[in-house]
Amino acid sequence: MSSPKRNSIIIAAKNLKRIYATDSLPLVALNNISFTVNKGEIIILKGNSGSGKSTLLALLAGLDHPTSGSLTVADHDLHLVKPRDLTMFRRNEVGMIFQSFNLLPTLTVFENICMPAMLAGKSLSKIKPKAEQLLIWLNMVPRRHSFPSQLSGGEMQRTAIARALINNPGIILADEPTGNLDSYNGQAVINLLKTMNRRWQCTVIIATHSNLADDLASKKFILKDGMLS
Amino acid sequence: MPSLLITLFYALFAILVWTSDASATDNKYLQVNGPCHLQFPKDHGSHPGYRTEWWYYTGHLTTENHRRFGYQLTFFRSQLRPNFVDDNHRLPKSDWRSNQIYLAHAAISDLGGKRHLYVEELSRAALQLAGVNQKNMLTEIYLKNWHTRIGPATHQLVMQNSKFSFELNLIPEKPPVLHGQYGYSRKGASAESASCYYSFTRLKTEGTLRIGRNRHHVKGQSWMDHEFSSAPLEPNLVGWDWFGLQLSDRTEIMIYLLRTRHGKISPASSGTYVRNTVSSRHLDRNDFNITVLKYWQSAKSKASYPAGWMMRIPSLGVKLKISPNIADQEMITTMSTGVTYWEGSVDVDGTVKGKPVQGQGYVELTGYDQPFNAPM
Amino acid sequence: MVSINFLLKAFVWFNLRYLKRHYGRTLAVILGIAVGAAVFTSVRLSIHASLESFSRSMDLIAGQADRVILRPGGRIPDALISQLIRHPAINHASPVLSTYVVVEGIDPKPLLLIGIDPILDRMFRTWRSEDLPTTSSTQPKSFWSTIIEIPFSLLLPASVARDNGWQTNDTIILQHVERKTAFKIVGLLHNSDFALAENGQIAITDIATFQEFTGLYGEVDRIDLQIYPEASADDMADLKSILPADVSLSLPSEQKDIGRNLIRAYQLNLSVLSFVSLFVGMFLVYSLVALNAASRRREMAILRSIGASPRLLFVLFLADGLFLGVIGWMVALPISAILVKYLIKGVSQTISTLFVRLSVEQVALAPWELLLSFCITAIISIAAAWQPAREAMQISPLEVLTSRHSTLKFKQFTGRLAIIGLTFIIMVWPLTQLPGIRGFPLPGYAATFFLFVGFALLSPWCLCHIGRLITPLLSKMAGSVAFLAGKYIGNSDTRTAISVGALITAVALFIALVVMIQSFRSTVSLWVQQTVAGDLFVVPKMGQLNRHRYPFPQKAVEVFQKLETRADYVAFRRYPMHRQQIPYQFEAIDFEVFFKHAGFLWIEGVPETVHLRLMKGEGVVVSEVFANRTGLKVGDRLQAAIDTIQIDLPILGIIRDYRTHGGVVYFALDAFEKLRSAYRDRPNARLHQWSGLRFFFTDNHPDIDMLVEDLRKEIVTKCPVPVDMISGRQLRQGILKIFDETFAVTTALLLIALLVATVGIAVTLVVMVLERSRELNTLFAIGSSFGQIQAMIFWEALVIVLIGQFLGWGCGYLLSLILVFVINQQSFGWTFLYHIDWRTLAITLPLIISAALLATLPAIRSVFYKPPASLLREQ
Repeated sequence: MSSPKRNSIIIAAKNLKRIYATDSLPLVALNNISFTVNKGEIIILKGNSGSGKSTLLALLAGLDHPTSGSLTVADHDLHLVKPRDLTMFRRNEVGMIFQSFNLLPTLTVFENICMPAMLAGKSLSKIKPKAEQLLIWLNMVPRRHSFPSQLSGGEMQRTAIARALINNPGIILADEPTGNLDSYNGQAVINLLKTMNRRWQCTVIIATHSNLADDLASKKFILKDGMLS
Repeated sequence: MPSLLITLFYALFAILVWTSDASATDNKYLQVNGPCHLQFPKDHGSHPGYRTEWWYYTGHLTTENHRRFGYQLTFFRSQLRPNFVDDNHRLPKSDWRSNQIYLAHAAISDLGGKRHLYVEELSRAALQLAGVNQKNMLTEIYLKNWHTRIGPATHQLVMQNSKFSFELNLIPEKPPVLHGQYGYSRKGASAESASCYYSFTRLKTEGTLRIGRNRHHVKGQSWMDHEFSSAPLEPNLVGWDWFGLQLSDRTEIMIYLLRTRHGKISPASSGTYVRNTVSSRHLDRNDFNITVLKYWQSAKSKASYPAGWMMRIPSLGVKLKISPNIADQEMITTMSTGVTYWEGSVDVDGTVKGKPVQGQGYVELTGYDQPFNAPM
Repeated sequence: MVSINFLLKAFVWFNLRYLKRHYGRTLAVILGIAVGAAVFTSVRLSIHASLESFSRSMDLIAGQADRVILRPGGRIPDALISQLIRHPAINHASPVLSTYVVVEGIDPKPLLLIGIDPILDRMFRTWRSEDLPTTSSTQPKSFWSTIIEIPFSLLLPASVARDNGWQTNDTIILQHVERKTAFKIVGLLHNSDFALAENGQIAITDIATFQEFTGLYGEVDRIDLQIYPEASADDMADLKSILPADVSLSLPSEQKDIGRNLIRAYQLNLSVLSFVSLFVGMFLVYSLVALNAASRRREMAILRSIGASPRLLFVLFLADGLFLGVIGWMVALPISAILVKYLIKGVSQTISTLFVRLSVEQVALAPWELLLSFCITAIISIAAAWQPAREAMQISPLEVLTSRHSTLKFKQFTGRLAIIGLTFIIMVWPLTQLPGIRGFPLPGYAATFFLFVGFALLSPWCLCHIGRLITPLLSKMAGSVAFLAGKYIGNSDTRTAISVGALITAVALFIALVVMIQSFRSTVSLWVQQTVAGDLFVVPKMGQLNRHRYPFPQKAVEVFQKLETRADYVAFRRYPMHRQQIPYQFEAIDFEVFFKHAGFLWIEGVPETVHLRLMKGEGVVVSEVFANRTGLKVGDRLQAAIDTIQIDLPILGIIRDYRTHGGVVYFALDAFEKLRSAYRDRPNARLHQWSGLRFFFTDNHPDIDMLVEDLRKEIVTKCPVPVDMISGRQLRQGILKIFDETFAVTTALLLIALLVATVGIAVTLVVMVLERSRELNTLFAIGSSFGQIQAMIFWEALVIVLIGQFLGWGCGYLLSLILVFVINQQSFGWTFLYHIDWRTLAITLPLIISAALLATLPAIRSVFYKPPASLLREQ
């Protein structure tokens, strides 16, 4: 992190490599990728199935660890930190949105939203104002006591968005956020991501097949066989 | 101190025995209702058939360092029922079969240390645990390892306990004094309200006294009473005040006051004046006048006892002030008789026919803790 | 660090809601744990109550004594009291006599008649009148004097009087060896202190009355002492010197400790047995927590991805286990309350028959016992959840991004586990060779534990290998469905295998206990026929209960010697003794007649030669229990003072004996009487002192019962004293009945363990099915019918049950050996002739298999509990 544009660059990857050990040949998921992302940008990550999109997102989210190269996200040198610190990183720096929503089925909408903040050690009373604000914004107030199994796809994804935002992360990572949604709800989610970017100055990285988000992208990365093209 | 303890006794045993078994009254105890015909040494021994009997020693002891002690040692015999013939059982009797119970109290008044210590013992008269033996000229009254042996010339007292013990040799300086009419001592209106009662009023005493770990060689004077009776306490009486005084002119005075429920002194109250010669004179109720000077209240029993008297016997020219040597000489004998009374060493100061005399004595006060409500 | 507050919330949101959603299996597991915990708690409470009742009664009877003077097998001259009471070491002394008596017309509870001097006894035991106010501290004086004063009077606890409708001044007739006598009730005791001894079944009389009633003039059973605290060593030495040589000066707690130790051994046995139910319950917790961990992988990955630490997941799954345990324990409480009412009767009856007499009416709530059962239940549940919770820790947050459903498999460890398991099983052998620790068979129990753990660890390997081995066989027998089932078993992971452990444990326990009880019963039955032979047994009134301490009076002996009925009789004199705190009975018996009609079950010694030497009085035979407890062997000499008679005799043989109260020593009666005649100057020494007789009919009469009846009538008519009589047949039936009653508790515990194991199997199978919902749906999708899939599950269940049975048999066989030859020897001192009752096993084992298969029904039904579509959606 010796870049002079320290304040504006939020993600810097250099020669990033991720190789999975399998029973037969080692699988190279990412191969010497280098890029930077500035604060407040919306990045669209495109590529076919198996191109390495998810691997890259996992690395950016601190869910996985690069095999080699360096990756600095929000001042955290992720190639150096220990798994235990990755937990702290995930709690505080990034919010994630998934194609399959990944809501906890035994928690209500409200509880799902609050969970990351609670994991970070905040008390419910402190979290509540922010959660309420998000519920209002996402038009989820009537559903706050519903469980995920009682929600529509759009509602689930809106809940997931709220959950991603609860800890005020600098970066939002979205993995096929519209993949399980119809086009109406898909568009709505994209609009929300845009609003998030504007309102909270979040850096948003969206991995997607769809073109719904193309026109709001500041940059577009296209992955093929583990390499940026 | 005749009827006082008898009364105590009765209060205790009569209640038990008579309430539990009415038939006990069918067979009568022997009654004291006339002359006692006392003969010694035979009558130093026990008198089974009479309900209650005791041998009572008190005295004043002084160590070589002039430390003063008062002592008391009393053996009681109590017969549970007139006889224990049981016609239903022709079985041989167990050695334990006995209807005589022996009790004993011992007390020490440490006048210098203002302490009053007392202990009690109790046993049935069986298997040599307690009883009276008479052999040749010797009478032994014993309870476990306490005893008194009355010989022709001496009385030997032994008592042992972890608190204190003493061994005393007593030499009578006067022959036994028979109270009342030749030992027949009236305690009430009826002829049967009476006891057989005699005393050794002056016994020269020497021996050892141990309190805790301290042993003392002691010398002094003692008084002995022996009394037996079957008579219960008359119902209008609540208690007794008894005085046994030894004066410096080698005379002795015994007086007992029977107190009525209304705070009066019963006309049956009487006494004996023992001259410095061998003779004695009976005192009846009109011969003496005793006034209480002050009172002391026990913290333990809450009873309020007289604690200072003026005794006047006008016909003898006796005028004596009697003062307790220690305020608290109260006996609470829950383990034996169950009776609470005051029994203590007193000093005497006054005049006889105008001549100053000093003296010492023992006073017994009963019925102050609670009046006896014996159903008799 | 996360706060407790958060943990609680997380637990409610994450665990509790999940358990609630799957309430069916949660309830099943909680019920299983509850039954286990209830059995454990109620067994502990029952024995605790028995132990307390015994101790309390002993304490109340012992009173405030700090030393007791006793004569082994005999009594003490009461004249000692006058010396003792004056001794410088002694503060107080009180002689005590006691005997059980029967109240005429009152059935069946005997009273313990206690003879004391109420004056000497005041410093030892506290009792007071029912009628007098409790506030007065000086009251009992009136009360006690009446029993001294009125011959043949007694005091009774008010409760006894009330139960029988007696009042003060009523007369009751008491029966004892020598006579029947009328006693007058002169007072009622308040139900407190001493009046609670023997559960209130006492009567207090004066020592004089007692001696006249029983004829024990000049003798007392014991003298209680209070020693001066400041008594010097010299004083104590002097005290010992004034006592006769064969009289012991012991602590009053010794008697109590002997009894307590016997009960404790039983307590441990029953606790371990009841613990098995909890242990089986542990498998249930494991199954459910493991299932939860497996089916909630994705949720855990999500939690990890949004910032949960691995430790939090670990804690949450441990909490799952703990929760099941705690709730199970709470549900167990009301069940225990009901169970304990039934158990207490059986337990106290067993203790009374086997060890010490007691009667328990009430079970007090024992906080420590409740705490113990709570802690054990909680620890077991946490232990059961440990491994699945560790597994949960391993889950990678990366799994949120993948739809791959990786399950962690431990198959690679099965070999290693099997080796560890085998090591455990091998360790059992050296453990069984260790001696018991102070009468507690701890090494034996350790061996049992090692055996169970060993087999549980071995089961994964066996499951895989047997599964693979039988797959071809199965497919031949039942086609492709069975083939799939075999395949599945062959590839199943440790989780399935450990669940099978529940079945192994239960089956093993069942086999072992059936073998043990059958061996025990057949040996006892043989012993009863051989050693307890005889057609009529006669003892003085209450002879058995009074431990044969009152022999027949001479006039009765003379009657027996001149009976007209033609029958041989074996007279015996029995003394309750102890040696090194081990109670035993010394029995002098007429060997000549005995060996003509009966015999011993020999363990050591050659009967032919030993018989002759025994008859000559050249030595003694001792029971196995006595030999094991004292460590004496054949050839050693037995030295003892029996009621002042010194004996020093070689041990000629060891025999089996299953009498209560520890061991037995047999000696020739005439030799013993000769020895005793050397002590003729003793009071009450008579030529014949018989504790009892047994009659044998020499004629081979077809109707023995009629002969017995005639003999009975003759004795009743001629015998001058009351006697207790029982026919040999009734006695032997009675012994076996007591035996069966004793093991009724054990059998009940066993059935409960089996029940819990069945629930365990059911849960395991449901878990297996639910875990594979997708796989089964796929099978459905590619054309399997419901029936085929259900058949496959059935085959899987069958294979698992059979493998569990197979391992259970092996484990059970070893366990039965440990029970018969190690644990019984260590805790009771006896062993039995090993005997497997194949018939019982043959009948019961299919029952277990059926029960286990019945347990598969919920699993089979749950296959398509949810429509395939919903499963897809959940994914």
